[in-house]
Amino acid sequence: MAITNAVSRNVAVTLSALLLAVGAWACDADGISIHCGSTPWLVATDDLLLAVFVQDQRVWFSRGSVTGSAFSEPVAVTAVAEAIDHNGESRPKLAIAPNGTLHVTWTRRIDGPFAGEVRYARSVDGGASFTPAVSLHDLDAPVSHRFDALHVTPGGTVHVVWIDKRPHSGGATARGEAHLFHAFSRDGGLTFSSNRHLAGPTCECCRLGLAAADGEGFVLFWRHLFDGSIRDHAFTVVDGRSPDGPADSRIELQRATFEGWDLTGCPHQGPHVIRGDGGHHLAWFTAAPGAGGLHYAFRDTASEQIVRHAHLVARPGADKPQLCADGDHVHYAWRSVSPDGFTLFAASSTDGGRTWQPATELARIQGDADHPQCVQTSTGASFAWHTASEGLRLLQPEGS
Amino acid sequence: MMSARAWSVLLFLVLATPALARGIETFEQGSFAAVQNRHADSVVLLVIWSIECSHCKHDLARISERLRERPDLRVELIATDPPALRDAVRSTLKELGLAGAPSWQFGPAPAPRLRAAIDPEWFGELPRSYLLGPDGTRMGISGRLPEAALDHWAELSR
Repeated sequence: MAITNAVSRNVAVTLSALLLAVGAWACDADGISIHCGSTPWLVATDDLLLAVFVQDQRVWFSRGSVTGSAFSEPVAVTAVAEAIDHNGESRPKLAIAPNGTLHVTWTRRIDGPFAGEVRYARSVDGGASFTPAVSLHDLDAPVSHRFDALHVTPGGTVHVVWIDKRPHSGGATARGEAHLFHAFSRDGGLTFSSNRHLAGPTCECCRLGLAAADGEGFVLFWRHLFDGSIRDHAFTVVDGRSPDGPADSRIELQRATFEGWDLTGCPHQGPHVIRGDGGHHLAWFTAAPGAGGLHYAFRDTASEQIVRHAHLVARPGADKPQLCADGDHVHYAWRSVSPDGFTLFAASSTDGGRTWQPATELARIQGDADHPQCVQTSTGASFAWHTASEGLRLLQPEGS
Repeated sequence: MMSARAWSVLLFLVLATPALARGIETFEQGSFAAVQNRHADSVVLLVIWSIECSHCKHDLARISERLRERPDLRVELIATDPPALRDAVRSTLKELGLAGAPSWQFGPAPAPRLRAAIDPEWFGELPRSYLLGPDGTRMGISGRLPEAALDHWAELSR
């Protein structure tokens, strides 16, 4: 993500004094750091990495060098500890507005079956302090509002989309069907719109894919429920020009994946989408018979067609793929179980996803490891990988 | 002569006995072999679930009902939730009338590695069930169990 110079200046002033030395991190009882925490979310600027992560039931913010080796003393986003929902499918999100405001969302678990709240805080001083957290849902009932996705447009509108299991006349039922809901802010996060129903029914336990589109729009790519229990994916473009239409207006969705995974169960595996030249790169998982594993496709903006489909990984143990692109160079990374730990693999394409080179091993670790995350720095496309034994690392795929 | 009150206490004790809570064992890398060995000469239904999975609770309620009808049926339950959620797992089992069923919960080892120890061909979707036969046969089912699978389990267990 590009960032204005104003933001860089704002956060760079104190950076040199605060950076921890390379390799100097050690996790003791009181040590808060991105390396010792978990489930980080990173955003790259021209010369900095900005990150939120979870440790001791709080969300923290930290600034780092683009190499990912040194990070500043973390600042608490949440003033008090709360039951933050963080795991492979759920983690805090961070986005930077063009004016430098930092926006953060996360999900808080509350009492009740699968219940949660989407939480929001912002910083207008480059991450030195954050506003008290607020909940974005306008229904005061202990139901599920979870799996938040965050986006800030070039015009500064803040969009938050989540999976919501409220009883809803637009299709969701009291039996707990899950639907996509949306709230937005046109005043930089000071106030938010009422909640708007977007689409459904969706899978109730899979993270959402969200990426920028042309202008003020954005796209969503998520595991939908087709014909009752087919857990394939849907794609839609949310036109950012007029998001404040009727409160109950449904968006037009397009079926984007066709493996036909019929499952009355929980995959716990959401997809990923990033913007590319002329369209969007899509990555997803399915366990449909004969098609199990990780898939890629491209959604062409002009034709609105899903093209370049490839079944990239068929072996089990690979999950939650992540895409990273730099022009026609597209990288597709995933974590895989190995005999004594985890291995991070990446496959690469130099022609926008039309053909793929064989996957290569980026790193191998003993013990626990997170999923990779794409970080687009000034030096190219990288994957951030957080592991229990080595903390956060940035790994560059070949040819990036 | 025993009073009505004493009778009701006795009745309660008798009815409550099968549901008495038993400990939840920690599922580790070698635990699947222990599950298999425990039922080396009989059919067992292995159900892998999570407190995060609504479909799992639906299946567990149906299994609980079957066990009330046929206490001889063999089941092993494995919750994939992390150790910190032990209390939530325990109370869910209790709510579903399964506090007395043999139960495991994933230990501190990374969940994907424990999943691979059960079945490297399983991608992690829940509920995931296996009908394990005494001859080493294994049938894996993802998602809610079809009624026919529960019937098959009951039939094979006669």
